[in-house]
Amino acid sequence: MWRSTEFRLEPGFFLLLALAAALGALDVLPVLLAAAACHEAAHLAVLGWFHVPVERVALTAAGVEIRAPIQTRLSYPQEIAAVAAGPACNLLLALVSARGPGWYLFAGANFLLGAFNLLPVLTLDGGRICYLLVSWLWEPVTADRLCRTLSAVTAWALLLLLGGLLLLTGQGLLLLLGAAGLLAGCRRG
Amino acid sequence: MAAYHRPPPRRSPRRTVHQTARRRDSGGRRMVQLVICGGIFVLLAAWKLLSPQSIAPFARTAGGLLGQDADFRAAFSAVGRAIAGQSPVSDSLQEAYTAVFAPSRYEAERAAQVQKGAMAAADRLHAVMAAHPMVTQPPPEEDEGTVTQSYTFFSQPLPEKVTMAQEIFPFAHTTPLQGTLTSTFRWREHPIYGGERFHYGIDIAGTKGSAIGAFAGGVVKAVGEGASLGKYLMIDHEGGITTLYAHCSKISVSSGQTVAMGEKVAEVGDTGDATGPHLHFEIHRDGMYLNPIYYVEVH
Repeated sequence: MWRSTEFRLEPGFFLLLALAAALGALDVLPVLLAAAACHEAAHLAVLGWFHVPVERVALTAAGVEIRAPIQTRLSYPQEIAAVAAGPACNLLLALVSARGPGWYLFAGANFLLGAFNLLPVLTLDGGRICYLLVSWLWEPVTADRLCRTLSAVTAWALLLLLGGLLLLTGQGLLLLLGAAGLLAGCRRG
Repeated sequence: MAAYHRPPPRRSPRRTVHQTARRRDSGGRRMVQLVICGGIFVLLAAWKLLSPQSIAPFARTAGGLLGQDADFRAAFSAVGRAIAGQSPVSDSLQEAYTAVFAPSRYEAERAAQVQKGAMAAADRLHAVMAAHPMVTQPPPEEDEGTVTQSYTFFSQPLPEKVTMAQEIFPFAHTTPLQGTLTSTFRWREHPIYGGERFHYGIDIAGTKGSAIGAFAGGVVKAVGEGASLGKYLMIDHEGGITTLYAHCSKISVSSGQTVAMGEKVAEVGDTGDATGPHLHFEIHRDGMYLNPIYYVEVH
């Protein structure tokens, strides 16, 4: 299964490194990347459990990305499990690793990554879980409409919140740009 | 990254021309974009290289806006601490918010915290030192009713079997020799051999042949002569206390003799490794070296 998987390093990844360096956040970037790697590894593990072939694993400007073909062979609960595995892994790691002072950074990064991914925005795991759940419990058309609305509302709310904070405190432009990117991503999708 | 673009089907010449024209335009547009971006980069680089001072405030503002000062590490750690239960959630969220959105205030708060911790530690040290005061001779101008306490802080740890604690002796005692204090109970550079050594007693200068009195009543434990101590004697007192008197020119008592407080036991000399005539005086209790300065009057 792994022989057909393409492992790729995209140039955008180096932009991410450069941004981290410019922000002086090179000490948190490895921790975040590690958390992202655990996240993706959990996805891969569950996908592997269900014998789903993985098309591509890439280091991109967004961190670590997995591309797998459309899940036509998985049932709803199975696919929900595969998608939820990522954030669940992060949250579990956060709980388990918050033992000593040296681990707070790792635990915090994991928690924030997991919680962020659970936001009901279409491009994130949370939005996907939402769509799958509603599709399963009702049907895909309703799910599509409901989740698109929820996704847009969440993304706009985040954007407005961060914009307000930027105006108030003069800080957090980067976070705002990230939220804008999120909104753009879910509009395109 | 390179998506596979299918070339559009050639349906009619007009369409082909139109599409070809569009492709050429987009190529031209990309060229323009490239030139503009490249130009901006060159301009900024030149500005930074040629006049770094003038670009510095802009760089700072840009960096500040982008969140250069934001302490993401602190924010993540605050969240981690909340998860571990080490600090309440509201406090952690506040700390995380401050670290990201108010980094200058966060830094100030952190500095204040560090200072508070240092002051608390200093208070604790003060309390410990107050419990074990080191009283030295008060200056003569001091009026009655005031107590001078001075603290000596050592940068090195004390050697084994040495204590700075002041004890209460169960007997009356006196100063063996009236004179100038030339060396105290501390680490010092050895006057003859060099190197850092601990000085296990005090040195009182005196004229050769001056009488040395017993510190307190007791029994002469030993009389001897050594290479470094010169002529010396030791007296056993009550409570396991022993005193040593070294570099003497002459010992006036013998081992086993009972002496009274202040009774002449020796004469000042410079035997052994002494640089001049003085009394080297030590106080021991059960194998521990005590600081003689508490129990004598010297100037």
